[in-house]
Amino acid sequence: MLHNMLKILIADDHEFIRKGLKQILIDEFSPVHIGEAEDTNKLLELASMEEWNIIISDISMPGKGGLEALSILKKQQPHIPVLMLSIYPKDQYADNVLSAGAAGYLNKDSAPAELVQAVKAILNEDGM
Amino acid sequence: MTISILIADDHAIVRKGLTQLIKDEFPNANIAGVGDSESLISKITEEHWDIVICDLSMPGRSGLDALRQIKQIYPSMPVLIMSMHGEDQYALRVLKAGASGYLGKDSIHEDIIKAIRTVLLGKRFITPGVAEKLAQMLEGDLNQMPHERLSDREFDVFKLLAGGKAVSDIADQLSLSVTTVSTYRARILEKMNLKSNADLTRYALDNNLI
Repeated sequence: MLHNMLKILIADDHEFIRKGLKQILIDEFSPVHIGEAEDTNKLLELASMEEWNIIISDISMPGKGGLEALSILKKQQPHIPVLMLSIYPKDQYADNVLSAGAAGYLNKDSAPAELVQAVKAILNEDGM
Repeated sequence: MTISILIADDHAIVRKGLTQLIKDEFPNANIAGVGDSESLISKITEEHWDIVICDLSMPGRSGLDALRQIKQIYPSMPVLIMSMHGEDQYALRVLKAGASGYLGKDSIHEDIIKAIRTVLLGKRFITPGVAEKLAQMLEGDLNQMPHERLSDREFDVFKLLAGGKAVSDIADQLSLSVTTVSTYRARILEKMNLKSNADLTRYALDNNLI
């Protein structure tokens, strides 16, 4: 039943990164419905079309950029937690990202277990 | 046909994603992943692999070093090098070092399957951008840029110096002595006709090398 299933939207302009994220999430959270966006326009479009439990988004994306998309998301759907991913070290961006409303910040160097842990922690805070 | 592919990248997400991308096209492929150059070298000596796909920038010894070592041990093993850097910077260097192809991560999802098929036929995978570079090289290198005069190792040291790393940090990172890195630094400055690390940084920024 799709409406009871965990729904995660992932946004990254690299298809192989989306595939990697998707596989990690399926391995841990199956059954899970995963949406994919390759740029910020698609991210904002999909975010407004369905009720997602969590959004995982890259910071550097074509279109508006992940940070701009984050602030739009937080205005339009403030209740959806957004976990931001980046290739940059945590100390460079974490403060900006968290003060812009992200529920978490994770470096892409992180192990899959850290990603899973972050998603679980955010979903628990959200009462899932 | 079952093909065996070994992927070396320090990012688990990248390894998983590439595995999935390849599995979509070659469902029976035997694919394994390693996270650093040392594990890569030990894995290729333990088992047979049809293709190695290796990231250029890995912790410890770089993908370029690993490529050279693989080519010493197994000269005919096809190695595809992938990188976050643009084609201009490393493509010719990795091809010269014996790689079967160079894949920029921005276009890897489009190129990886084509590259695997090409390499399985015993050919090299050359993108149009790399072909253009090769053609320019054949024309005689009349307009060779100063950084293109550097050897592979000098280029590695140049990028680290330009990025602000101290000689001692570079020595640690590349497992070289401080004296050797200082010698490289002197040679780089001479070949590029520059005077200081600040000049190197400015040059690298002006030419999008860092």
